[in-house]
Amino acid sequence: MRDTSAWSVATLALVLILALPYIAFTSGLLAGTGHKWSHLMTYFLNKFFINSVILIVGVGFLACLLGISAAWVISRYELPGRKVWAILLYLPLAIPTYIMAYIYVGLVGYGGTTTKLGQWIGVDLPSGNIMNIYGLVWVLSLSLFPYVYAAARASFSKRPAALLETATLLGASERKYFFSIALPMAKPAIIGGLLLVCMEVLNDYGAAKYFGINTFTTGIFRSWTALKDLQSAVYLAGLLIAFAILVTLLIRLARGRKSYASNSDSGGPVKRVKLEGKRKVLAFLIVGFPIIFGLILPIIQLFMWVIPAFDYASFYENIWITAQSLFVAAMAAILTVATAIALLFFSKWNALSFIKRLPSISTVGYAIPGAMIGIALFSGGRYFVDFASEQFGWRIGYLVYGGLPILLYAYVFRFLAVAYYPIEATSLRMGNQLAEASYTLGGNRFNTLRKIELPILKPALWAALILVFIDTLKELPLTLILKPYDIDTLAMVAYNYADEEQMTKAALPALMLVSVVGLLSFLFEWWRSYSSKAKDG
Amino acid sequence: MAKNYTSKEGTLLLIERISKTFQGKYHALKTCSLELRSGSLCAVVGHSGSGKTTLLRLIAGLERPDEGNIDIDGQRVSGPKTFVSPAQRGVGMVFQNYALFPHLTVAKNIAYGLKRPTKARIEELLQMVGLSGYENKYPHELSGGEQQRVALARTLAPSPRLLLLDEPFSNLDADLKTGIRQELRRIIKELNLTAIFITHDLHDALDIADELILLEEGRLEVHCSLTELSELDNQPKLQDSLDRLCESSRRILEVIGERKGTGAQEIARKKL
Repeated sequence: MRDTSAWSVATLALVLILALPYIAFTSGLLAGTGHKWSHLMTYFLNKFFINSVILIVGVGFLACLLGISAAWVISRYELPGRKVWAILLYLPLAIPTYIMAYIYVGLVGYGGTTTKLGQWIGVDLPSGNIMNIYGLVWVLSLSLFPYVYAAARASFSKRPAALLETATLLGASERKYFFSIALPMAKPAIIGGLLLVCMEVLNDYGAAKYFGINTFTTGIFRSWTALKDLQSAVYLAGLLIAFAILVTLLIRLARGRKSYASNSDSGGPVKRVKLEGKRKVLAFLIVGFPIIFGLILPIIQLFMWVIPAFDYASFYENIWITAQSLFVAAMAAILTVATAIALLFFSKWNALSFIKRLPSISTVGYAIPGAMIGIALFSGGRYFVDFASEQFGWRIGYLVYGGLPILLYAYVFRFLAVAYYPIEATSLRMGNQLAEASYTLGGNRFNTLRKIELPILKPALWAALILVFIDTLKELPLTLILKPYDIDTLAMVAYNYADEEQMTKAALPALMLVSVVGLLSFLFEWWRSYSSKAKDG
Repeated sequence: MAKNYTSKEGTLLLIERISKTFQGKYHALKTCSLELRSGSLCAVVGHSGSGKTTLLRLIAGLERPDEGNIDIDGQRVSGPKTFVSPAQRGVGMVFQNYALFPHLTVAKNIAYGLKRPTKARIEELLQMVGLSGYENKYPHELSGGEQQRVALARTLAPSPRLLLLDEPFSNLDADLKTGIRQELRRIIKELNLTAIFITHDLHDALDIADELILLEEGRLEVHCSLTELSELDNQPKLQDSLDRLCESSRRILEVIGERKGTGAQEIARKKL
């Protein structure tokens, strides 16, 4: 049932289409440095580098501290309301980093909520300027620690009871078991979560710009907009991707040659321990701290901005913007999932082994910062526009500059991995036998795909759709560069108002964005824990 | 065949009328009593779900009995008002899939339970299980038989009073199994350990054990010595019980018959 030519060519074509940003970016790099490059090199490059290192180390450390400790408490101990805390701990991820930054300035900045609360109760509460790099570390950590939490929790929960029981029989204390067995065995998962945190830190534009911190990403925008030097922006994007690759390699090096998979499955999963007294209070503090500072206080602050300034005109305006955001995110999600399905099955149906490996190249977009993708498409797009105009007289500029297709293409490129891997994992578990049974019963590839494989993949397809939908709603730098003229998104509008220091106006779209993303994330996590429980049971 | 037990001199393990129910409805063990003398090697046989693993987990302290007492070396470790933690019982357990820590080397796995691990002690243990020179290997670099020996060395490292083995031979192929069975007996006897092992295979039990326990649906139906079994012709009461009890006990008769070169029918005929 395999024919080499058609599906190999189809896979190759799809991979090439998805490689356009690399081609555009390489051609941009070959065009030489821009006129402001030496200025950037002299005055900014070392700042970009040092700040990026501080942010990665600081946010990485704090996100691990918050995420790992919360994951350990949730998976090891029985607390009242444990299932609700477990889901709430994912939700700070629903607050985009730039919105978390505005919120914290409003909460603890001079004249902010804390000061007002202090005046009201007659106590001098601490407040101050957090718009520095350490403040940025704090807000980014609160927004991104769920990546580490999710990874660590999955690893802690899946460890077989026999390992804990063996350690206990050999006299290990709880502390020794955690540091010598549970934590080292969760290392690969935690490293995976940490990598996502680092990529998001490098991808961040809105929070760093608002705090006035020079990073590679803010440098790309500054070079392009303030210095009017697109070519130097391309070079900075090149440095950013080199930095991202370096961080990835360094983190992966930490893994070493050990195997972390246990063949022991006796005794089922680890039973949770009931806590009493001081240890129970401590467990609540560990779980409650990130929920209070990463979710509850930020949402209260958003409401405190929204309620006094609420008017129906801006509410309806924001409803319209929400609808546009949802439309763009839905389109992006559907296109991304469709591309993932095509890539997966085209490569599966082809018989050449090297073609089968190509999809992994197309999924590295998630590790590439949005600003770089935007700049690559924008700068590379010029060549296509000029070429089409000069050679064929076609006017295709509207497709590249301010058109929805290019933005959707960029989202597909950036979020393909988010859709591809859950679908691929389920497809691998499904195996080939069902499809082969269908072929022997007279089904062709598309019939089999439609009637057998896609229905079985349905949970993974839904998961992929929701995850891409959420990521697209939150995305900022890519949207800032490639946004169509006639479409507004909640992320853009919130960012633009906040950039102009109009926090009360920024709060409503921010709250709407957080509500939509939060609700979807909550439902997704609830559904995931429900379905895994059903599977186990 | 259940007996009334009282602690005697030389008794290492004394279990009195323990029961265990899971989720309030599944009776894994029903009022089981057992006495095991110091230095004996005891095999526990029975169908899946007969309560074999639960018995071991209760002795190790990984589960609490609903009722009944467990004494080890004269010390009450489980009772209505007593519960000694697994780490304080002096019990070692080898799990069915060995539960080796995958990220630690062989030497570090063995050293895990030692308060002051020394190179000499680790080497001594490795030599005992025939794995000298394997210190720096990781579990995934070992064969199934080697993994089992590492698990045994790790369990023996803190010098436990009582050794528990959950299906120690189930993951080994037939050729490997015969050698390891004898080696395990040699080590246990050399160290003068008391040990209980679970097995599905009656040949494992009859080849190396001193005593045999048969569990059926959570009840301890038979507890006898291998000497009694080998002289079955002179033990009409035991023979009658084995024949009458259940499929598992009849299987014991069959296997003994086969090993003597006679069939179960012949044993039954003799009995008549």
